Amino acid sequence: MSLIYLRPIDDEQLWPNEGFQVLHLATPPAVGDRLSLGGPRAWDIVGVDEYQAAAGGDEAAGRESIYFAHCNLGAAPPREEWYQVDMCSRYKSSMWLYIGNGVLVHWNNNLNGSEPKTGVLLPRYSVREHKVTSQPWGVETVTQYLPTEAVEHPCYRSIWVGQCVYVPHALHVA
Amino acid sequence: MTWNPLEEKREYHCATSEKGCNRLLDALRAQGLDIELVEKAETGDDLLHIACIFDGPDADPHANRWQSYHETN
Repeated sequence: MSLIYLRPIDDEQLWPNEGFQVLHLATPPAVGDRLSLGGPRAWDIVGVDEYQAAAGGDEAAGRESIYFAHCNLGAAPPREEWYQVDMCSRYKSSMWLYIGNGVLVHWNNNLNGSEPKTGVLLPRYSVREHKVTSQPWGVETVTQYLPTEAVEHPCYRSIWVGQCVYVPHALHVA
Repeated sequence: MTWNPLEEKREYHCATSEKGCNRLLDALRAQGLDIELVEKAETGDDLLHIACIFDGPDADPHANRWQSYHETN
């Protein structure tokens, strides 16, 4: 079983009910596959990057690689022109994916080379109240994955996968 | 296990896309602020689904950088 991270090349093309996705598939996706990003239209997979575990892998899940599938509506521009590729060349860009009960519950894109923490509750950035509260998800473990040598012009220098547990009781004492 | 809240002390503003964070950075720097874009996170909001997080000497989590029309008229 492989963990697949899907995101559009250009997130400005997303509709309100679409977003980044995490799937668990028996085989990795392939260029040319089509799937939904949460809404009523199909996106084309235009690239698949393999990221391998940095040290030992996710032994609990028996997984050593994850796959990053790039999605677009139709043919994609040259990879060198992708926004994420440009950001990765200018920043120490890494993607932190947080998984709870097998689904993506939070993500953030760190740009200064920091590493995610364990033992913390995931944050919720409020749009209207402009304050940060806690989600009922605690980060138990984090595993780092690095792009394989076959990945030219990577979008991230690493992808961290955080396994989370649902802890609503923690919000009452946080 | 004791779970600690992730204390956020940096400045953040929300955008509709990741590229919007770069535009916000340009706008903040145009104000003369010594500030850097250090992280982007999802908000869960349908429209402003990206939190653009800034840090640096002039970053202020309590700053009100942009006033609404009603506040200025």
